[in-house]
Amino acid sequence: MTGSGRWTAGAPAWERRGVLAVLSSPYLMIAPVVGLFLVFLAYPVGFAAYVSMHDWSGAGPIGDFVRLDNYVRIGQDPVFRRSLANTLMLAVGASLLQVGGAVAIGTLLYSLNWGKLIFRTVFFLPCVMSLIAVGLLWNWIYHPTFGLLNAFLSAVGLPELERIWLGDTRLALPSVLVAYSWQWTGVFLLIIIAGMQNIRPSFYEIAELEGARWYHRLFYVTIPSLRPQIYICLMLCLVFSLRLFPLVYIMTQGGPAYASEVLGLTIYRYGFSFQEMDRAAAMSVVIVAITFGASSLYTRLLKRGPEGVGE
Amino acid sequence: MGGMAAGTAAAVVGSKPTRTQASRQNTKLVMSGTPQGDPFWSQIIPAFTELTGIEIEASSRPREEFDAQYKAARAANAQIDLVALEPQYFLDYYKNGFLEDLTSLFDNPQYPNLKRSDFLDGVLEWKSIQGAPYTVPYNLVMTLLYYNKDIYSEYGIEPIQTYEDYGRLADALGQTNVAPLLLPARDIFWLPMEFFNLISPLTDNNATQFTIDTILGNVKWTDPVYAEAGTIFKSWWDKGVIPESSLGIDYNGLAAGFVQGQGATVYQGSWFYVEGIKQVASPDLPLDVFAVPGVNGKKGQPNGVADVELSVDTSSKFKAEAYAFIDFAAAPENRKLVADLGYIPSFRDTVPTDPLMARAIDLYKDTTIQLFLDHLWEPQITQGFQVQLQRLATGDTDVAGMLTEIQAIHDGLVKDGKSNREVFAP
Repeated sequence: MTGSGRWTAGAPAWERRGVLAVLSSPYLMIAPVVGLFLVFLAYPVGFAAYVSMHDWSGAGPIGDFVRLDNYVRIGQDPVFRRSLANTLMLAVGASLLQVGGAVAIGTLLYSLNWGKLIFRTVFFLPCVMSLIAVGLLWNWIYHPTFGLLNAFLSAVGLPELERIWLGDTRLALPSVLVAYSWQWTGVFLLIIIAGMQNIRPSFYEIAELEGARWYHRLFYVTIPSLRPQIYICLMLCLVFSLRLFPLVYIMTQGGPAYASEVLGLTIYRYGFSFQEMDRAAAMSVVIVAITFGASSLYTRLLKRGPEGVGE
Repeated sequence: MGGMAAGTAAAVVGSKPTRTQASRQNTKLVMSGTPQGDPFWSQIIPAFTELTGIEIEASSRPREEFDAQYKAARAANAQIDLVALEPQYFLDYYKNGFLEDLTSLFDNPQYPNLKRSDFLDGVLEWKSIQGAPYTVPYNLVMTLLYYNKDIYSEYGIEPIQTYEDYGRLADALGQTNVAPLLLPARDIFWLPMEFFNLISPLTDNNATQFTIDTILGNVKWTDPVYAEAGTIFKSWWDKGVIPESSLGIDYNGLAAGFVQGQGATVYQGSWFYVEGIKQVASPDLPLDVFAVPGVNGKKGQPNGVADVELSVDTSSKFKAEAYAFIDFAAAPENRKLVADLGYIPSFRDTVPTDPLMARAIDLYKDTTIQLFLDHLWEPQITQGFQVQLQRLATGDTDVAGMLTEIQAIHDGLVKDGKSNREVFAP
């Protein structure tokens, strides 16, 4: 960079532009983010993929290359299959409850003349609570003998509906789903409300002139206009659900009898309790693959954009 | 600690380390542990530092997080000198070569507080492999039956002597909202613990060897002893000894329910009182304990372990200093501190200060306490029992099905080379 003789047309671009130009180049600007991505995302995923094809307990040196044996083993493992099924059910249930709930609540809030901010804050509050606190709170709500839920059912004259919510194989997973949705619906509500504020009022005015009822407006104006936001919410909900762990750990530990076992918990158990880090890594790779596939699908849908509404 | 300093000085001088005092001034030990011993460590570490100049940086993690944190720290080659380990991981750490053999510390004039004969029967042997101790225990936890005296009195129930008496308990409390035996069946450990407690009387108090024989493959998990234990256990669910609601209760719910009088009896370890309800219950809680019952005319036997204990990590570069601290913690003044903090000391010459724990010791004065059986077998077996016993409770399996599943888990571990059998193989 010192002699003027080096400033020739054939020199690399960064030399011709000078140091400042290089420092302000877009590649350098995104380098920190790329670096963080490589260190904290690409490397762990790559390492998990590497471990998943080796024999490794999690302690000591990594063992022999075992090809896809760990994937075959987890495929044959009834606990993993149950866990995967529960996780997918939870993801579908959470999408319906949380995203559907956010659209429903958002529509109601949007029509309010006062108190929007208060209600929005109230719905968002659970999101700022720690997962541990939420788990403990709902543990007490669901307690079979002195929990709030059973006490409420008894107080309103419905003692026959009292249940052992977290100890019943049919109810444990739905009970966790309710607690999980209680916490996260507020996040999606904010995204939905932000989207609703971008819908042109003229759409509703035209719809009203056309004699549209509330459900016409909801299904033909609101929801189509919110498609980008709904896809984002669905994608986030899926990602959150696939990696759900602390709440289930605190509320049920996956029981009774694996009724509420989810992948996050199974991975933790295999990796840290059973010293089978290789199989835990294989399960993690499966989660990454599902997340990647679903995210790609949502991204494609997102790119298609709203069908002529809201543009 | 001021009054104790002079006394402990003798212990430290007595446990004179191999390095000089001057070199110790620059030493900082790192201690990784679980919270059970926090009240003890938090008092003796400053005293040790004051006397020796050796600093100890101690951190404790919740029991359920400890294993992952410890292994992660080891994998990162972080400094770890002292390990106040969660006892259930002992065999795992031994198998992985994490723990130092502490044989040379005992009955060694350099460490005057560590005499094998000072320890209560069993506590050192529980953490020994082929006679070599890998941890030094400072306390003892053991299983007991806690009962609510008012409830027993109100319904005319006598303290239980045998497991058959549980039926009498269920009959007396059948029409009430009080659970005869409150069990946190939702959390791991407690269902298996209740199950393997039956193995002692069914094997004439030879459960440890019977379990080792099972791990070695000399006894099958489908053996009649396990089948009988399973049948008794199943009968408790069927008779309502353990209410169905137990499946929805965790450990915290158990403590709260018992304090509120929703359970007449609780089978738990001494930790349930020392670290739990003693801290929250009112002093007039009508609480008493009785010994673990027998079965079929055979005497019961409690399970026990130390959960305030110290090991030295094999990666430590300051082993001499770590050994000095281990010895210091066993000094007479610190043994008394263990008792004063409410623990049951693991030393013969120090009795528990708490009257209920002193009574517990008295209950078992003629009984050998055996190690928790789930500390011998693999965590996969514990998890298997947890799930299968839940299925047994809900009628989703029978005793034969449950034990066949456990045997299948065992066979899988042997096939994968992940069984504990090499630890116990002669």
